[in-house]
Amino acid sequence: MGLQISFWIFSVIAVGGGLIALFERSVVRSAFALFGTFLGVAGLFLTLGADFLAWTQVLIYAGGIMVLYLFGLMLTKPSPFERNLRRIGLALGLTASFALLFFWRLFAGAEWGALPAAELPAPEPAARGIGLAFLRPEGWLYAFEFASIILLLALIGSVYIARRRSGPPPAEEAS
Amino acid sequence: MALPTPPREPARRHHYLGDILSTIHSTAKGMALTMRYLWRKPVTMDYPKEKPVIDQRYRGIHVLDQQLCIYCDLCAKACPVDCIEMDAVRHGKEIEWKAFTLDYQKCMFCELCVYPCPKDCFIQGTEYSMVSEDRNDFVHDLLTWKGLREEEPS
Amino acid sequence: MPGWLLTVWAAVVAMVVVFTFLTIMVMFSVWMERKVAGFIQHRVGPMRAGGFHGWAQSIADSIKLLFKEDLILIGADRKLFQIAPALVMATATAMFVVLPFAPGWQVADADLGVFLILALASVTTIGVIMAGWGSYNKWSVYGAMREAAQVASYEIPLALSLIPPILHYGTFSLATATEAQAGWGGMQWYVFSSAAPVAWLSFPLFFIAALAENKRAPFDLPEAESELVAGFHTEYTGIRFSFFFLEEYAAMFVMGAVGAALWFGGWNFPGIHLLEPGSALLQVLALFAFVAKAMALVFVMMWVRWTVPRLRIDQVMTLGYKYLTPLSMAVVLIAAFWEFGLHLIQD
Repeated sequence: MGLQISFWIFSVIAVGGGLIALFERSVVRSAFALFGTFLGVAGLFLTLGADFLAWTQVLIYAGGIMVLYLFGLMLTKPSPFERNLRRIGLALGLTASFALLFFWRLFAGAEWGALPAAELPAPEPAARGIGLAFLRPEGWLYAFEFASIILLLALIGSVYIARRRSGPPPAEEAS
Repeated sequence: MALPTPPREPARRHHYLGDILSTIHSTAKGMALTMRYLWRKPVTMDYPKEKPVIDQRYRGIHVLDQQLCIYCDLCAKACPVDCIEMDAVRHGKEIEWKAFTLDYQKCMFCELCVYPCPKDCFIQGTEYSMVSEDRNDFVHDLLTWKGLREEEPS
Repeated sequence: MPGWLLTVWAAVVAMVVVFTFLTIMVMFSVWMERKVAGFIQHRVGPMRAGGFHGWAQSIADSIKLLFKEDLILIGADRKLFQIAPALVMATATAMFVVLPFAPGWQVADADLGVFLILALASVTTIGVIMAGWGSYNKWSVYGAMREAAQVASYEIPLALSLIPPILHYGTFSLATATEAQAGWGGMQWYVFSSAAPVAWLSFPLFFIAALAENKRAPFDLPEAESELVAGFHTEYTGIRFSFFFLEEYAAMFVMGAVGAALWFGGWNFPGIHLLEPGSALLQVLALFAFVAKAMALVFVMMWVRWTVPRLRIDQVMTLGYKYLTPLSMAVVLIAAFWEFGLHLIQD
């Protein structure tokens, strides 16, 4: 019962945030609504007992990627075609039909009905399990290291792109 | 024509470890200083409970020796902001005082009124406290010390 | 009572207790800050409110703030303006959930204590940006952006500098780490333990990163009074402003508490092994020890604030990226080697 309540609350937050993010006129507001969605998703992870994943979601998505989005939104000029809700009909129709198709296929094989609480395994301390899984060679060690190398490449690439061209800054013109 | 720019400071070379150590050193020195000050007796005076010691020469609220005053009006004439008003009637050598007021809204405590007095009957005393909610209280009647009494600020 | 209702009820009770403690602690911290600032500056600080050294000054200030007019600018984004202080306050309060006040006295012994605190600290940033943007004030946005840049830069050294004690005690949970420091008559703190050099290296990094995360001087550009009036919370008045204020001191306490729990033994005090576990005396002394240590670190934060001049934003960034991040990475390497690799060189 508690699980159901928790599920519904966080789902409402997550889906509601998403809807606000879609239909809100102000871009910054929809970014904050997206932040709400991330928190809702983190709550869903908590509901399912994946606490490490939940807090990582908060730390990375809600706390890191959102800051990035907000910087991007606030420091750039809004385009005049920002929120053209009149053309939304076609896009909405296409998206809705694809989404329906996708979820129908996904859920067609699922068994509905609440799980009796006794069947849910007690959540284990997740950090230890995840750590072991990532750092064992028979686990995901190589994927873990590969992902970190990709991030390093991205970091180096961005520093390279943003670097100042070497040499003194251009001098004033003497008249 | 570009303005002449002042010569730039020669750039200091930065050594990583040296910078860290000098930062730690200077921060530690600063924090030691503030810690020392933390334990020193503060210079603050807890005003209403402790009053400062006022020197005799302090230019505070005026005091008039009514017995000596000869109604010569020199102090009023000397005042740069015309804040002294006096009114009396002479009966021979006797003076019947009607009023001797000093408007402290104008007074700038410059002591120019004190010097011309031929009888040395007008001085600025050591009182300084003058608090009121009514502007009229700032026009002191120096004859009977009417106006603002010396009040203890609460 | 059904299980879920019990949980909700427990959560409500916990929230009330935490919030009460937080409020009292914040009021005390504000008073302490003003007194410390006063004495460092060779003056006295508040003296009149309540009699003895103005102890009731914070209470008077809070009441005054409650009576202030609640202004919202016409062009301001109302929703964002109103949600921001609530968000910031909520995350600051939530961080208290995993702090180990005394053996068994903890709102939730989450297995992921420190991780939770890190996550919530980064969410506070979003609240600050929301506040800056919702204020309809260019300078507030500047303050908010500076704050976001600063906090994001220092999240890495903060997290990395927390790794050595986590590595040593093998757990994110603050309570477990505190329990593990109970040896030697309650003095086997991390800074005195077998990994002491690592502890002494990592603690200053943690402390500096925590100062920067909390926007405390010398990293208080986001609130730089001489430049931005009050930075991102310029346009906030009354209760809304007090939320930000509360959050600042609450976060300081949390960082002090984390530092106390992980490096300085948490609730352990010399002689703790002599007392019967579970006895009231032990609990009270442990609580006192924990809060005292956390407040001692908060005092150091205040001491630093009134000593060191404010850093420019580029200096803040330089310090974060060029000094703290590499140093904390190096300390993590040293810690890892110390914990796990020493046996490799003992052939």
